[in-house]
Amino acid sequence: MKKLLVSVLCLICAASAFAGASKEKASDAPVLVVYATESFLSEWGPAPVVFPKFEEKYGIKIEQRQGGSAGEIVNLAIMEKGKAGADIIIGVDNNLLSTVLKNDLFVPYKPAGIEKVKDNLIFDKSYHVIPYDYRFFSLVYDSNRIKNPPKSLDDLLDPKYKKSLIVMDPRTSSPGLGFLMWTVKCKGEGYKEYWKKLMPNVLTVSESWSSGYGLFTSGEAPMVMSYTTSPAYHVEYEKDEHIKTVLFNEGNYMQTEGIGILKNAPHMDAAKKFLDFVLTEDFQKELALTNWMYPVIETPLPDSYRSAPVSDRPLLLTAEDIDKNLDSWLNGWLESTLNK
Amino acid sequence: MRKNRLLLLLLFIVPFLLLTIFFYVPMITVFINGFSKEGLKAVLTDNYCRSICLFSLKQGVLSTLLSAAIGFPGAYILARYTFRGKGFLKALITVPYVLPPIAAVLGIVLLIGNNGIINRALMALSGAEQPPLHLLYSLKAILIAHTFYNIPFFIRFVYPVWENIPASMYEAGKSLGAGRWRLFRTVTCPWLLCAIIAACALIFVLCFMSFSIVLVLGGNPQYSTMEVEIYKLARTTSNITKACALGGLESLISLLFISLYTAAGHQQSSYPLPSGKHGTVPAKKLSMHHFPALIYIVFLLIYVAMPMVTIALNSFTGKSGWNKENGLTLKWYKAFAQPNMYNPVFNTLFIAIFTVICAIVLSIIISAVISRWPKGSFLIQIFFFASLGISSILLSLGFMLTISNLGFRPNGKLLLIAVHTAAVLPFTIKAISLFYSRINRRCIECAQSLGAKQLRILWTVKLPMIKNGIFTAGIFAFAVSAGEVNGALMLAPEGFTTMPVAIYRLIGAYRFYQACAMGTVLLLICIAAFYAIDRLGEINL
Amino acid sequence: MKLKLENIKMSYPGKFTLNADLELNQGEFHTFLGPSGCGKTTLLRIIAGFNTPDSGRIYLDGKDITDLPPEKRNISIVFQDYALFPNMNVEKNIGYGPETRHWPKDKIKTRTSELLEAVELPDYGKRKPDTLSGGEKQRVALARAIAVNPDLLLLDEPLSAADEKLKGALKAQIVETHRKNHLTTIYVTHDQEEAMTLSDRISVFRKGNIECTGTPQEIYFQPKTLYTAKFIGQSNILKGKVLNIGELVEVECQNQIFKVQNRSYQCSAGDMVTLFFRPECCTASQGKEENILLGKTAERTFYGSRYTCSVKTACGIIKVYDTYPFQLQGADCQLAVRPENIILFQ
Repeated sequence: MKKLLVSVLCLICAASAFAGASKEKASDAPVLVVYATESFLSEWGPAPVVFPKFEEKYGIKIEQRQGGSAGEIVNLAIMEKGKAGADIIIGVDNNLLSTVLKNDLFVPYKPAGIEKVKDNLIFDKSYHVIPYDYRFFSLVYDSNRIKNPPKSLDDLLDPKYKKSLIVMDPRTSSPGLGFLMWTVKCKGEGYKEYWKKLMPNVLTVSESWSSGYGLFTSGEAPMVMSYTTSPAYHVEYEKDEHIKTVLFNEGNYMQTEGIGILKNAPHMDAAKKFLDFVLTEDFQKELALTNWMYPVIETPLPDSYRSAPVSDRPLLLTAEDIDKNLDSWLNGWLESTLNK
Repeated sequence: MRKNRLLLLLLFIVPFLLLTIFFYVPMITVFINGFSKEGLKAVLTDNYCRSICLFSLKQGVLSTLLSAAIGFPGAYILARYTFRGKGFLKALITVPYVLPPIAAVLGIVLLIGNNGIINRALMALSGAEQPPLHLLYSLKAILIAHTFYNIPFFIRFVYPVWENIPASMYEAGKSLGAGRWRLFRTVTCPWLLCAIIAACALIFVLCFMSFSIVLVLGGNPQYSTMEVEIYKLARTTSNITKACALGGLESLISLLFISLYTAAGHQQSSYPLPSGKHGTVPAKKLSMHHFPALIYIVFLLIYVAMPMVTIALNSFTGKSGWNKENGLTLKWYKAFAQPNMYNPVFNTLFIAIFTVICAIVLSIIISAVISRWPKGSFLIQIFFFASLGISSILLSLGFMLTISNLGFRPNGKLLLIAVHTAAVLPFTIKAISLFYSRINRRCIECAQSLGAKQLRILWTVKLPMIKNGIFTAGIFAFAVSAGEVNGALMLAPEGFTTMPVAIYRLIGAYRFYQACAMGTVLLLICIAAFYAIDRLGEINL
Repeated sequence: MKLKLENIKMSYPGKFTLNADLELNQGEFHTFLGPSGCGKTTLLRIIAGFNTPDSGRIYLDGKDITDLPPEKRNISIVFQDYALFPNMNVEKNIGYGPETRHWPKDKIKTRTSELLEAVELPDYGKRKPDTLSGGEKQRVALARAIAVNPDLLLLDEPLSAADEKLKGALKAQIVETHRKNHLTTIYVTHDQEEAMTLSDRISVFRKGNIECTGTPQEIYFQPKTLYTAKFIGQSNILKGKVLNIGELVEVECQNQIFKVQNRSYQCSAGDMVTLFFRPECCTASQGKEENILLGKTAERTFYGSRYTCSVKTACGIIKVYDTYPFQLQGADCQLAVRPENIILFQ
């Protein structure tokens, strides 16, 4: 018994020492309270690279709060009604714009350097949400197994691709929703018919991008719905060229991520400085290899991005359209995918 | 005496507060925000809601029955045989809990998927072009994944009860002329019935609330559980009202089974324990003659260990595809030299160890109260176990709301330990109170009359007597804490990542093989911890 | 140490109310005797401090210990199931009290081995309780209880689990321990034979009350109440009517006149009374004694050392002990009971 006591005590001491060592130092420096998506805050995401840069440059300490999906954070912010003392939300994508505007979540701000951003990327012309990066949903395939990839949505229906495609569930994942909107944009009301024909080629509908892409990586299917930037990872970190993407003739649906300053933000100045910082090269050049998205201003890209083509036919639905029809699209999708 | 009682009472309240703060308050917050007649009506009149409700039930029942049927012989073998590596097997069957669902799915896919080990082996043998085995992306696959988690759970739950059937029961039966089959039917089965019902009820609740496994491995959205729909309503279409109504319905069904679980468990704990030298049926040594048992153990090893082994194997590959030229690499393990890889390991250990300590201390206090107030134990258990029936999606929503309503940010690490403690308390209380209620009161009184104060009695008499309960609780608390994802995602202070969260983030950042390495280390740590705890339990302290 | 119980009261609603007033002398071996559920164990637990009485005081050696917790009373207890600590070996069990009192290590060691020697288990120090037989456990429990030289030793039915032969040995052990250590001891049992053989004094319990207290001889031959008389041993009980009161009380019972020594009974002629005498007080009559009963032997039961006969007389069946089988069943016999051996109850 004594031995056990001693060992437990040792463990507690060690653990406490460890906890003490990693305790954050309190400081009186000005702060900026940030809500950001899980993938942004991840150790392998942009936050660990860009936050220190900002802190150093402006002497403002960043306090990061909630992670989670973009939808989750926006919902939370709406329910908090500005009482929680957060300043900005990073990662609001174009699909959420209507929700954000309807709930009057943000204050408009036109940061310095916004003129460098290409006009078609500014998805909120009222400047409540400022875009900082973008990418396209696209078909990613294993070129060892698929020699002639489909070039369009219709090509995907070819029976030779039976059970060869992994897609994500639009109800639970944003690339899933992106692909659904892509089909809505191109097919109109015919999207239901399209999905009905597509389902025999779908191996599985995963709940998240992570598990879907995980399945693709482990070789379950030769094709997956992902992003145009996906192959760049494999080139950059695995020196592997055989994962490729293809741009569709119809164009590719675009995803733009933005940042907004919350109403009643307690640190308005710091928030504005951060928005300015987001459009500088210091921030923008890090996005390619951490967030796997294209910067919104002209910035040199890493070599691996040669395998991540930019579509010259970006597709987007309007915020009002999404707001009005999202529910019926999801229901329509569900109807046409059930009972194959 | 009075002062001691007061202190005990105060400490006794702590677990209730924890549960209330971390489960019931968030839940009520959500319900206040969303619950309404219209929501309920919308759910009850919606055909789709009804059909997913039915499917949730169906897959839950099937998974439960399968787990119980396959796990039953395993419980028998562990209860009645001794063999080399039994301790390891026991540790192994506890590990699946710590695996986050995404890792479990990938492990299963790597094993029996189209490009899994088994299919590739079969293709290499037969020279076939297409994978011959089609197990995944169907209801079958869902059941396989659920049984992967729950066969071990069933075995762990039932074998100790089996082991402890008093030998006198069998002797009485034999003396009355009962044969082996009749003994099994008339002694073993009735004795195990409550334990089996309790295990099944709990497994059902876990499967019923399953989310990602059902969607990914089912292959078609027709296989969706209520959790999927709640996710959609709460997060994608922001229809909180309907989400709450559906979540309420789901909780209601779960609660039904949780009360069944509690009632059966309660009944079970009233059975007498064997006593004396010949109290239990002695375990036989497993030899080559016990062929079916050996086959079963091998099967169990494959079923439970292989998905984990395939994860470990993958962590040695450098890039996608198992081509020869890819070769094996240690580069993902070398990444552990980086703080973003080794910190999660320490963080997980830190949180898990403190969770174990807190949960055990609080459980002992609750058990002390239950032992003095046996009538209340049922209510107390319902209170704690009801937290299992809460939709995790609504819970995290409620949680965020509650915290943001606080107006200040509590210490994330403390909060995380508190949440993990609250989550494991139902199980640890159960494990410890089972032993606590069987402490011989007269031993305590003897110690008292020999001059020992409460604290000394606790340390020298009570704790050694409930040792086994403490170790069981410790293993469980460690497993749950080490594998928990949602709380760790929401509450951890900045830069404080645990291993399961790191696994998610790694996969989210394309680093699939690095995630496998992280998963392997997590599994190894847990196996080592369980094995150590189990051994510690056998050493006489 | 002297123990004094003063007006102890504790009510068990629906069962009984415990009432106790008792004084124990230094070194006395005192037994609480009574059927199960009569409050004797409860009183023992009150003395040990596990239960708190509703009212009344307990004094140990003149000191009021009523409000002291058990651990401060220095009263040891041995339970029916011995309650050895299963997690400790024999040595640790016995050393538990001394260790609690922070005795120096070597002193604990000598005390332990001394006690192991005394209970005749010298080599058992390292064994675990679950490897011991019932008798061995009991001896270890006894050694554990006296290791700290308690002021009072309480024994709660310690022999009820032992078989007859073992009982003898254990009783001897208890007597030996008591004699050597001069411990004031309270022994709880429902077995009258144990009570008789071990005790200096016995208290007979009935529904929470102490019916009477006295030496075994007093209790046996001159019980103060009919209940005591019936509870202990075998007895002959007859109903009768007082005829005459003088030096001897004359009682008529079914036409048979009994002459009874007058122990200053408060009764008058015409009162209905109960007569009580022990079977061993009935002797074969020589023809000249007082109280001669005529009858026929009805039934005989062999008890090894003696027979018990039922003799059918005019006033009913009378139980008689016989050391030799001199009377056949159905034979006539004459019995005599001496007046001083008959007790009257009103």
